[in-house]
Amino acid sequence: MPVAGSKASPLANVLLVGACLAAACSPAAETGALSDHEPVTVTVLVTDGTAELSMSPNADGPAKFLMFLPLVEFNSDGTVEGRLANRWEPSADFTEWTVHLNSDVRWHDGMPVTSGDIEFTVELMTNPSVGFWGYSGIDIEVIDDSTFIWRSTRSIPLDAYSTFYPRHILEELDPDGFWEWEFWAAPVGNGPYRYVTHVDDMFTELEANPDFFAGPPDIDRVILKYGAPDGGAIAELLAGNAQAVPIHPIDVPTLEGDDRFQLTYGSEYWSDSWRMTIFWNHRHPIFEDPRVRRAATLAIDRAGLFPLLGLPPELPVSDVILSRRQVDELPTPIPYDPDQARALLEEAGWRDSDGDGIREKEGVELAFNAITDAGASDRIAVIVQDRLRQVGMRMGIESRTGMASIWRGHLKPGDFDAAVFWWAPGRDQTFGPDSFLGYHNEHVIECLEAINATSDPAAIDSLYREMWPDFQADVPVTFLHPMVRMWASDRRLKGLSSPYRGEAVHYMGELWWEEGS
Amino acid sequence: MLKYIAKRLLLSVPLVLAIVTATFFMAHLAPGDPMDMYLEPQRQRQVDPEVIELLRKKYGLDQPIHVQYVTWLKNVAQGDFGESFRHRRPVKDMLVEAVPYTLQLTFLAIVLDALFGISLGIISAVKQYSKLDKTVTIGSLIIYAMPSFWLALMLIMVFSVNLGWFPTSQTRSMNYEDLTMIGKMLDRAWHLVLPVFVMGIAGAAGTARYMRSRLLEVLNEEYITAARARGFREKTVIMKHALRNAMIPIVTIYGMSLPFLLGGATIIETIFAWPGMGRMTVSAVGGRDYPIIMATVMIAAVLTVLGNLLADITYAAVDPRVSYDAPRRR
Repeated sequence: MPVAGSKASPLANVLLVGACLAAACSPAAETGALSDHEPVTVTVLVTDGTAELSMSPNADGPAKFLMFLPLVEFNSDGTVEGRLANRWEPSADFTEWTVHLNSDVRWHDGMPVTSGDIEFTVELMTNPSVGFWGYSGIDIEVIDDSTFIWRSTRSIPLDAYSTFYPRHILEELDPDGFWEWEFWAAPVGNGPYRYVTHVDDMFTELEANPDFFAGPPDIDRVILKYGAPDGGAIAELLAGNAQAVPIHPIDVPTLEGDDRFQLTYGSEYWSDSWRMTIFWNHRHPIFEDPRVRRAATLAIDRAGLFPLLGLPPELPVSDVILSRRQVDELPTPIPYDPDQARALLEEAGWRDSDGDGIREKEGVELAFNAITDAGASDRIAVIVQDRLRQVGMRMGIESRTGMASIWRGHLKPGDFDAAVFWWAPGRDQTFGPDSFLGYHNEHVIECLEAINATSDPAAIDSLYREMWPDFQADVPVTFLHPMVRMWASDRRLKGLSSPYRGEAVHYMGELWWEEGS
Repeated sequence: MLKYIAKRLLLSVPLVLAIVTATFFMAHLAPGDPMDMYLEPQRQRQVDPEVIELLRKKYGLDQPIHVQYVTWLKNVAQGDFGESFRHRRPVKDMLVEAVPYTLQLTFLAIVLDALFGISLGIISAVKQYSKLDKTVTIGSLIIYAMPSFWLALMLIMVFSVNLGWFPTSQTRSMNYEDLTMIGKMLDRAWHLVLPVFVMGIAGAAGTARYMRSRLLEVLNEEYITAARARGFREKTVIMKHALRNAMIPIVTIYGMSLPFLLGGATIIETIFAWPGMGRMTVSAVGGRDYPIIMATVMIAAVLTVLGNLLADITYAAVDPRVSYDAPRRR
């Protein structure tokens, strides 16, 4: 409407009205923490594709971490700490665990968590209509409301990942309609946060559980925002739409030095976790000689790779496999020493007789091809190629796509010279009797079999330690760097640290907000 | 004309069948196993083989490929695209949810494309060699050559991060439910601005250049000279006589944009976290979620065939010289 007495044009008046309407109806800024007088809200960006309320057992959506407690969980230093359980005793052969539940853990509707919920969940998951593979061979014997025996057909560690569901809400429902249960749309959990609302592909809102048995969390509200990966995460953080986002190493320069943010990372370098690795095919004439494998490892400045790849410089270099508890006692790694590498190759009979910079032996060049996973390992492969060239080894790069297809098509059948790849196949497939590398060490095989036969943490640690000299002598693979996940968060979000507590979502119940810091 | 349309529709059936058949076999024969998605390679050896077989049986993956194909065809004929491996939901339901989001983007982008592209093309042609013409020509060339994902990210950095004028992603604000009806509409519109602009402006750049070129051709025709000689105003000459003929190929191009409506927003949907068909398809391809892949390919194939038909029909409708009816025997 025209402003009274104004000589403004009709268009200007329309624009003015439109601006007023927009101002009146525009949404509040999507920032996280509000003033001191209002509840603290932290928005965490989720970019891993889980844009649904993934409460179902085969999903690992972040909301599940916050709403449901497992029996136990790995602590920040790799030790196991109770969550639903407060005590647990294994049998001598580790096929049974007697578990005692915390008596003060309650579902968000106030009902107590009991052994019956554990039994119900395992039975439900093994129902053919549900078909969740994780509980194969597991049986639960309820002793009383807070005690049960977790029984398996083989030696197992106590389950540290599973989610358990409320029997009193779900037991009357038909398992045939499991995936359509309304419970998944509005779950009742037992964790530090409880469900408020969810919009598919948009966000999940959770609020602090005031009755949480370990005390209500300091962060009152958590919003999991499902956003675009890559560049979108940084934009959300810089725009103030999220207070914690996952980032790539290449984003580090953008954020480093910005006082508003802190960078944290999480790394996993124990046995079955992911490390960027050079796999040597021991059946290949070049790599059947451990001196060549050692020489190649000596030629690569592994610690020097970290800044080139945007990785934290304090990451350790390691040549061995280990358990979670051993990350702070790694043996001295093979150093970066190109001179020693050259001497070792000379000793092994590889010499550059024609002056082209590449060594030969009995007319055969010290040249091979390395398969890489395009996008994942190409970059590091180029650096490795250059380092090996310095000591007279020529590495060609065959870039392929798809981890699973590289594994099935090349690594598993042994159809490769070398591969620069994430180590994901597992320790038995890599170093066991059927090693896809063609590696065979009786002592290592015995140790691995013994590890598989027990779940005693102390015994496992000892067995890993026994294998370390074998790994250091044989150099079956060359570990380059562990998988590192990085996050950037608002500096006012406290309680995060690297490398064990880098991820905000996972530790949200223990974090707090400090305005003015 | 009706006979022509009927004939084209009949011929399109084997064409669509051939496309989806080729896609089915290519997708299934490509390396990778859909079970990899939630049974990672290192886990598979720890899972009971019976459980793995149960899962394969549930999704029909234990059958020979030709049996899988026939089963899939039968189901599709009944409107059942199966269940997503990853999301465990009927694909049909997922499509019904995703399609409106994609249509919002693409339809508005086409409108923006047409409005700006055609207008700028006309102005540029009418004022040939002027500063405005040169600006439009160079500007549209730059925008046309610019990768859309780069443009999207730059706009997000400038207008969302630095200026805070527009949201960075998604389709609505988090407090959407608390808004009034007008507020909700404005909120939706606010979230549409950047993605629609990116898609529309890129198309408009191409349309402007094509429009300019076409109109210049027509303006040099003799009947235009004759119209001017008859004393018609220049505006009438351009808008009534020249434009109609210049628009003929433009209209058919827009007829061909039917498949774009549902498949043209893949990159933009990914960058703006827009929950449409494009984003769903990208995610499905990465996760070997065959049911979704097959459904979206089938939809794209059908729309492409229909788009071609629509373009031909439109062409005949706007150009009286074109006829698809069989010539009458004298």
